[in-house]
Parts: sequence; structure tokens; C-alpha cells
Amino acid sequence: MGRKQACVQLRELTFSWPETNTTQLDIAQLSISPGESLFIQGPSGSGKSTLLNLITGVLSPSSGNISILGRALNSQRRRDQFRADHFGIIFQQFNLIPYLNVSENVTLPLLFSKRRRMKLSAFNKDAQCETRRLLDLLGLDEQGIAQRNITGLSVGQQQRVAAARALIGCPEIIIADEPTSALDADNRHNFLKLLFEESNKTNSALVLVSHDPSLAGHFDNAISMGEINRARFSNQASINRHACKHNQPGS
Amino acid sequence: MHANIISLAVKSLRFRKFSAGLTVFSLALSVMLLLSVDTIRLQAKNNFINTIAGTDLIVGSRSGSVQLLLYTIFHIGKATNNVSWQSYKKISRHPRVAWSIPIALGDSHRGFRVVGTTQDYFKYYRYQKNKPLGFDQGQALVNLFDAVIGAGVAKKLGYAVGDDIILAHGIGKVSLNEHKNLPFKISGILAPTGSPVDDSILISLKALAAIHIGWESGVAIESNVSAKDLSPDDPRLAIKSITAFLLGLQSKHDIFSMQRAVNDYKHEPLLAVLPTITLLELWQVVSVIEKTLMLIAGLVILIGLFSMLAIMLTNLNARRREIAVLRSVGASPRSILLLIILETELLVALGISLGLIMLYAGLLFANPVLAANIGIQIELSAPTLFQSTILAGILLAGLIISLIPAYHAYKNTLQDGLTVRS
Repeated sequence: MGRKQACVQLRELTFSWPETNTTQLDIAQLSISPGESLFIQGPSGSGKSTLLNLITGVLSPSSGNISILGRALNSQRRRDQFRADHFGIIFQQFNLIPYLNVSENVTLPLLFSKRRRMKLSAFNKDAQCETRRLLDLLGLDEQGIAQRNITGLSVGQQQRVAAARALIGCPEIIIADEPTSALDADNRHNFLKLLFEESNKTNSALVLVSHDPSLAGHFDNAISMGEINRARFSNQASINRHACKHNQPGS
Repeated sequence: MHANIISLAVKSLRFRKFSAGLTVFSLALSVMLLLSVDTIRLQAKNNFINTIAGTDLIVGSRSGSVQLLLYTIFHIGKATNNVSWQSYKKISRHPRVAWSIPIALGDSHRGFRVVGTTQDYFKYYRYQKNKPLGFDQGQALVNLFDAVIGAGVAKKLGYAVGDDIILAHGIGKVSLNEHKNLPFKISGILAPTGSPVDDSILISLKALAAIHIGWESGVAIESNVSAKDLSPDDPRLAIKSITAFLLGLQSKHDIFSMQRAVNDYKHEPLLAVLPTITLLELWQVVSVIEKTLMLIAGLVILIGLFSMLAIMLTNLNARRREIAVLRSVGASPRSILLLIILETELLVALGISLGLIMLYAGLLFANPVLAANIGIQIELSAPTLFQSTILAGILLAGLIISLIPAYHAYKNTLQDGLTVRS
């Protein structure tokens, strides 16, 4: 992995919830290269969601270090800014802010990231045009859909709006947490295809987390939580307890 | 960045129009209640203290100062002693005295007090902010048996100019001793003043003397004098005594020396009081009510704020997913804190603004009604310093209260991160 600088680099990383002190996640090494597509597979309670929270800087590790684009992020404030600037995140469902319309939901990351606004203007793109382009690309090409209330959209449409939001402003890393589990087989395939195409275009790394091993074939690399999480087997009981308490669904 | 959070807060409130609207409305009602209680008590106090605005001293026979004020001005209770006409004449001619109004009480008409006085009453009596008496209909006393009635009397008894009225001896509501032989004709009706003048019937001192011919012992011996038998020069109409008198002085600087001079008057035990000071003393008695009302209004505000808190906290659970999405696009926990504080504070600010609008609209609507009926004009002025302080206090209380849901949201998002139970 030494050929070029990794997007995300984890080393000797452990994480445990402060109140219990039992290790939930213990990863010797994980790195994600620019443009790489990586599939992470694991069942419920395997620490997938915790891993995503750590990579995106929402949680901070108990020990070890994470560097994103070659930089270690020490303060919460810088981690939040980094997430805004470099990550596009898609959840399993309920991705959208109910009080914002479709276009406002898509452009939401631009509110928090000057860097992504700058990227758009560097390509001479205006946020509204780019929103429309992404929506079109994702098959949301109905007249006036950008101004529509999100409550009228189907689950599949909502996931595509979420994808447009993750892609806007070309972030370096797209993270998708079970993005297809709410979709039927047809939509699932189309959705993944679009996600690959777009992240390829912008040379973004794509990290997809799912319990479903059948998706692995689409990706450059696939790993399972069982392989990388050394804490998993030694602390199974405590992990399960956490899974209930902190409730990490979609894992 | 902060501007973005503000626009998110506004959109979020607009999305929850109904519950946000109800919260704003209930806060607005409580703000309006508090401000109107404060406005009305201020107005009532001013009105009360200015009941006889232009009068520097009230002089009567020696008794308590509150008692003297109560019976001369508010027609409550009665004098134990009279003031002789000679003393009145002597004091009213004092070089420092600008004007004087004699007042003779003791008779009534269907429960309303009769005030025997002179033309000077209409000339010098002042109420509220130095307003002179005005006439709604008719004119001041011209003929001996003319009477001028206050707006309240006219309204409650349905009298008009030209009506005849019979006065009764004593001040009870029902009197068996009426001065039937000498009816009075209403010559004028005063404009409402919001003061006890509204409930007065004014006649001349000479007319008062006339109806008491034959009553010297206190009861009617035989009284069949009729108006035809009396001319204004009749010696029987000579005035022997009055109940009290009001004094206006040349200069306010003379008030205390004049008060001393009257209190030391050798020929008769007299008492002079400063009406404004005595009225303030009297107001202290009723201020308990005013303070209780303010306390209740304050509690209503508190209830409004707490119901807002309850709604914010209830919403919070439903918003955990929304907050996780905001975190995923880069919102920091502090942005979430700020968002909830802003939403709450916006509700409070909107509530205060709507409350002010409702207060002024209410006053604008009520003013003509109040002016026509009780002669009180509530001034539409910007909030007083006290009211502004209260409003700032409500905003501050809203801010403090907003910290509760904001802290919960902050704690939740630290724990939830990007993954929330759904």
C-alpha cells in the first residue's frame, strides 16, 4: 500500500466505550487508497458501525491512530470539518432532513464545507446545476423534483437523493452503510452501478459496509470484520451487550 | 456557518408549523397578559395619583389625612366637622393662594353625592395630566337651582340636560328625607374623567343653603319654601360653613409653608394635606393586589416557557436521526447545540414579538372604548424600561431553558454518532 498516500490509514487502533472499558474494536492495520472500492462485510455486532464512526471522525479511538489523507486529526472540531470536506456518507435509510426539500438536501454538505463549494466553482459549476445534473444522472429527472418535499418520495428515490448528496462537491471518500438493504433487487443493482460510475469519475474511494457477502464481487477489495477485528472473538459477549445498549442497527 | 445554522433552525420550525405556532401563540398570550397587567397598573396608579392633579393642598377640619382625602375627593365616609366660611374666606385670600374651590357635602341623589361648590370648581379643577373639566352637554351652573352632573351619573341614571332631580338629605342610598320642595334642573353633563367627579352632582353653595332652610336642627321641621320665594340675595342663603376646600398656590415652593400655616391656624383646628403624597400612601394599600397580579402573570410566562421546553424535549427523540444526518455532512456537536438553542430562542423571540403586537392592537382597540366610558386614555408608548427589562429577562430565561434540550441533543449525538436506533 506504499505506492501512494492512503486516503484512510488506521494503525493499532482500539476502541472501547468509556463506561465499560471492554475493547470493542481492535484493528492492527487498515488502509484505503484513493479511488479504491472496498467492501467490508460483517454481521450485526461485529463493530462495523463503530468502525465507520471512527473513520469519519465522529468517535475518537481509545488508542492507536487514524490518519485521513495523510493527516492525523486530533481535535473534534477538525474531524468534523474533515468529514464535511472529504466524506460523502449514505445510510441504510432515513438519510434526508425532513424540513429541507430535495435540492436543499443535496446541497447540505456545501453548507458545512467551503472546500466542496470551492471545488464546484473551480469546475465552473453552480450548485443548482450540479444538483440537477446529479439528480438526472441518478434517474430523478421528473420536472420540478428539486423543489419537492422529500416526504413525497419513495424509499428508492430517497436513497438516490442521498447518493447525490454524498457525491456533490466530489469528496475523496464515499462511505455507504447498508445503502441498498431498503431497496428491491432491481433498484439495488442500478443503485450500486451508479455509485460505482460516479465515484470512478471523480476518483473517489468507495467504502461499502454490509452484512450481505453477495455484494463483494463488485469491489476491488473485500474484507470481513472477522478478519480485521481482533477484539471480536475475545469479547463477543461484551460486544453483544453493546450492540443492544448502543444499538448499532444496520450491521 | 452560523448563518447556515440559523436558516436550518428557521426551516425546521417552519416544518413544524403547527406545534411551533401553538408554542409561539401561548408564549405571546402570556407576554401580552404580563405587559397588559403592567400597563394597566401603571395607568391606574398614574390616574389615581393624578385624581386631583392641579390641587396643592386639601384643607378640612382636623382629622386623619387619609380620611380627609377620602371624603373630600372620593366621597367615602364623612367629615366629623365643618370648616367655617370665615376661615375659608380668610385662607383663600392669602397672597400665596392662586385659587380655591370650596366643597360642601352631605346630600345625595339616588346614591350619588351632591357637592356644593362655586363656579371656581369648573374653572380650576384638574384631573389626570392637568386636564380641565369639559362638558359633554349643556353648561355650568347659571340659575340658582341648576345642577351639573358627572358622566357616570348621567349614564347610570339615564339623565339628560333639562331633567328635574330631587335631592335627598344625607348620603344613604335610600333616603326618607327628600328636599321635594326645591327640585333642581340639570344644566350640564360633564365629560368622563375617570375620577370621582363622574359620580358627583354639582350645585352651588347658595342652592345647598336654600334646600336646608328649616333644616337647621338636622331634620326637616317644616320646609315649604319654594323657588319662587327665593332670590339670590336672600339673607337666608348666607353660607355659614363648608366641608373642606381645595387650594392652588402661586408657587409649588409655598406648599409646605402654606401647609404649616393652615395647620397652625388659630381660630379653628384645621388640617392641610398634600393630595399626591396622601394618594401615594393610599396606593400602597392597594399595591398588594397589583403585586399579586404581576406575580400571577409572571407564573403564566413560566408555564408558557415550560410547555415550550416539554415540546422541545418530546421532539428531540424523533429528531435523533435528523441530527445524525447533520453530523454526517459535517455538523459538529456544537452546531447541533447551537441549532437547538436557536430554535428555542426563536420561538421565544417570536412569542414576545407577537405578544407585543397583540398588546398594542388590543390597546388601540380598547382605547376609544375606555376614553368614551371611563375617561381614561392609555397611552400607546414604547415599552417602559421595566417592561423592556422583563422582555429581556424572558429572552434570557428562554436561553437558559433552551440549554436543557440542547444539552440532551448534544449528549445524544456524542453517543449516537452516525448510527441511531430507528
